[in-house]
Amino acid sequence: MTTYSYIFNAFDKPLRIFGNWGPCLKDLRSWYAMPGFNGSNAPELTLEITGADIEEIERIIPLPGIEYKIRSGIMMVNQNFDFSSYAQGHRQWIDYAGAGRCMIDFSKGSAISMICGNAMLPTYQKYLFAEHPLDKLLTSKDIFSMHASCASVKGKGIAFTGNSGAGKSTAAFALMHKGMPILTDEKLFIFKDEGYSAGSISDIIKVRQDVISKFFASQDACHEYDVIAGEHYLKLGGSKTTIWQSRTPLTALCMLEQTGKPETEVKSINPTKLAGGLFPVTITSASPQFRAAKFGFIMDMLENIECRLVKFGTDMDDFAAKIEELAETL
Amino acid sequence: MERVLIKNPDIISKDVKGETILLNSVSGKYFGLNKVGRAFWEKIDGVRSLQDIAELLLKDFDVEKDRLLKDLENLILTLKENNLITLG
Repeated sequence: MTTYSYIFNAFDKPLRIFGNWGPCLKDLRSWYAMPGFNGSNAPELTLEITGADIEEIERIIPLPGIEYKIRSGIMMVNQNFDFSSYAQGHRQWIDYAGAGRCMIDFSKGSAISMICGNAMLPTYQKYLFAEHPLDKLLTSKDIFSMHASCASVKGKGIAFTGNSGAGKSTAAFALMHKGMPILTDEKLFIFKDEGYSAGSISDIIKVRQDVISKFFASQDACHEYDVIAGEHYLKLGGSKTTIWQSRTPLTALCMLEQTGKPETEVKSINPTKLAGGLFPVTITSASPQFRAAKFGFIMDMLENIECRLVKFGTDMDDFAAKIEELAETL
Repeated sequence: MERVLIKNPDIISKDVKGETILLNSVSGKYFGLNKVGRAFWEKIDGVRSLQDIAELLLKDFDVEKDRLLKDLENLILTLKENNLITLG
C-alpha cells in the first residue's frame, strides 16, 4: 500500500499530513493550496490519515465513556452517517458510524483519522477526515476559523459574515468578478501577525451551475475537481480567469443583511452587534477552555478591526463599488 | 429583591466599545449587554442582592428608582432564562 507524506506551510507552522489512505491523500497537494514548508523545523502539527477496519479503529482510537459525549447527529453527505463527538481533557473524538473516526490531541498538536471503506465519497472524506481535524488542530496554534468569505480589496482584507443565505459566497464572487482576489467563500482562518491576518488553506470552492454562469467567465474557467449532486467543486488557483490569494491583512469584518433593494448600504456597527452573527456557529470548539480562547481571540479582533453592517443589495456592480469605497476609507 | 445574585462560573465576558458580550463556555451560547446591563453585571459579586445593586446603579445613572427596579427585574429574568445567573 502506498504511503503518502506532505509537509505544508500552514500559516508559518510546519504541518505534516501522512498516511496510507489514497482516496484522501493522493491528490492532497492540489486540494490544499498551502505551500510546502521550507526549513528543517520539526512539524508542529501532524495529521495521519489511514485506512482501517472497525476493529482496528476500536483498538487504536477507542472512544471515551458516554459521559464525555458532547454532541451527536446525522451528517448528510452522499448518504446519511450518524456522528458523535466526545471531548475529554485536551482530546476530542468524532465518530462517523461505520465510516471512520478522528481523534485530535490539542496538547500534542496531532490528529489521526481512520477511515473504513468508501461508503463516503472521497471529496466528503477530505472535508471530514482531513479538513475538519486540521481546522481543530490549527486552533491549538491560535489560528481560528470563522464562517466568512473574504476578498482582498486594494490590499485590504474585507471579510463577510452573516446568517445562512445572507450572501457570503455571492459577495466574494461579485468582488472576484470585478478583478479582486478572494481568499475563500466559506471558511476563513484568522490569526495574529503584525495585526490580524486572514488566510485560507484551500482554493477549492463549491458552487452550483447558476453561480458559475453568473460570476465565472466560462464553464471551464477553472479546473473542476469534482461534481456531486449538482454542486461543482472548482479549483480557483492556477486559473487565468479567477483570482485567488492565500492570505491578506484583515482590515474589516462586514455583517451582511439582504434587503432585496438594488443598492448596497454600508454602515458602522458596534462590534457587539456583529458578534451576535458570529456566535455560536463560529465559537464551536472541543472544550470550554478552547471555546474561551476562541471567544477571547474573536472579541479582541472585533475591537481592533473595522466592523460594518452591509445592507447587501441586488446590484452587484453597486455592491462592488461600495466595497471598493469602503476599502479606500480604511 | 433580597436574594443574592450569583454568576454562573461557566460564563466568560468581554467588553468591547462600551458594551459587553457574555459567553456560556459550556453551551456556546452568547448574550449581549448594553451599557446599563454591563454595569449591572459588573456589580454581581455573589454577595449583593438586586436591591443592593440598584442602590449602586442609582448613583451612576440618572433614572427613577421604580423604573430602574422594573428594568433590572426584567433583566434578571432574562439572565436566569439564559442560565447566566442564579439566585442564592
